[in-house]
Amino acid sequence: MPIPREAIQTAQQFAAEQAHPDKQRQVYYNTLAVWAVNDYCQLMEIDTDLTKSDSWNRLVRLCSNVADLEITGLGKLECRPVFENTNFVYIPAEVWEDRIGYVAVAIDKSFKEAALLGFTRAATTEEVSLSQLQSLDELLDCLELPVEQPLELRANLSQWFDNLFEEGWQSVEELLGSLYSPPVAFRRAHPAMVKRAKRIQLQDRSLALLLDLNKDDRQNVRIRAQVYSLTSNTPLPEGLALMVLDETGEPFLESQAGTADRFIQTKRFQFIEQPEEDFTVKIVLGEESVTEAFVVRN
Amino acid sequence: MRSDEFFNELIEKICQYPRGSTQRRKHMNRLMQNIIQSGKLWRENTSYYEDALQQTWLYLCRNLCEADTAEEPYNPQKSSVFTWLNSYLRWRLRDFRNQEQQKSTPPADPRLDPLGNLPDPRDRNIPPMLEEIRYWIESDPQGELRNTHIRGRQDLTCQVLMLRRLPPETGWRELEAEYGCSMSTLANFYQRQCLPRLRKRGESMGYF
Repeated sequence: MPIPREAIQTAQQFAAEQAHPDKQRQVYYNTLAVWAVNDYCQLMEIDTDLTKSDSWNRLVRLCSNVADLEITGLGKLECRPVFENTNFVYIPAEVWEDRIGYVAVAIDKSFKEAALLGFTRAATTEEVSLSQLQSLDELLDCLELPVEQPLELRANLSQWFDNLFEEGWQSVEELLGSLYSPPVAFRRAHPAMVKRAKRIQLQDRSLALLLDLNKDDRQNVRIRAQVYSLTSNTPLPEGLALMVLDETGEPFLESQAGTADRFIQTKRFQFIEQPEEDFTVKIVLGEESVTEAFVVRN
Repeated sequence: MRSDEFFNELIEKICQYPRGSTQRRKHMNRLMQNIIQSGKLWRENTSYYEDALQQTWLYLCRNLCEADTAEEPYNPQKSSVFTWLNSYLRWRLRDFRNQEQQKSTPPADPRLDPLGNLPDPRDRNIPPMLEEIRYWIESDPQGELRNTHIRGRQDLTCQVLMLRRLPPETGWRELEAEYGCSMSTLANFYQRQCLPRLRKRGESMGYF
């Protein structure tokens, strides 16, 4: 992408706000990278909104190494500059979450051209080798607006082991109290085990979805889902189904409530193939259903 | 060296896909790459060249199959795609050149030593915004920053992390080693718990 004069002027203006030379340089290059990707999106008729981007927010720019571009209806795309004579793209830890993905942008030393080198969906290290990047075709696939699918907040189960829980996920004791029947062993907290529960309303029934996680010796996360009735003395409605769907939406586990079940559960499952796995839990009662989306990073 | 036929076939393919479709975008991408690689686009070394080139790319994308801004879309019977684009490019360059000539002193190319032109921050007072934010974090009037911390680590509060990440920022690796808490946990907490509070502060201060 050619770098127009207005981009340079904006980058200078943003850099001038900074008090330290290193930070000036950081902001300057970040701004050019975001500009280039924004121009590219404009060519491809992909809607963007700079006003919602942190990189265009003076205060956040000051306190964070951020180069995001808000893609309307999809979320944030991070645009990271690649410096001369390096073969990696630097992705700071504070942007590893809540991103559609990361585009590496090489800015030539005469500041005339910005090359979009490649794309990666996830970042878990600060330095990503350029050889590991995928083509822009992959980026374009990610920017495809899904048809009628709301932006899901995917709970990140790997972080549950670090005590970081998304809103709505409470401790089992808090939500279920005496309604919960834990397995006989392990009533104490254990670092490689996490259990959390979330209130679910389905056809005016109060239910709790429980996720029970543990890590085996090889750090693989093993998961079991359970659904409990939250109304004491009332069992689960007959026919209530608990399903687990893989990332393509295909169900691979299912459990159904009989006439007097206080809870139902799935078998324990795990994903070991990809570094990042998406799955969904779906609870169905008659015509209605509720889904919760999750991601596990191995 | 790709032939005119190659380009026309690729263009025909692009136009078969609906506008805004991923397939069209991917093929448009390929077309642009091939145009660049051919070296047949007019080049010149003026400060406004890139401005004109960006406008030309936009012209390509908007008028290749449907005429958005042109009178008619690209017509391979009339000319090669290069002739079509170069003609537009050179018109834009002419416009810019005329604009420059009308000014008594043409503006300097902002690319010449762009970072060098910035005032050395050490020569002047630290900008007020940084100091204001530092003050806000340190004083933390409602105690919100002090009381928001990583679960299980009362010492790792937003207040502590935000101060360390103000320029000159302490690296995440260093913070990881110092506090014995993984970089991803620290950064995730910062991104999800501290930055939103910063944004809220900015809004209430009328910074945007």
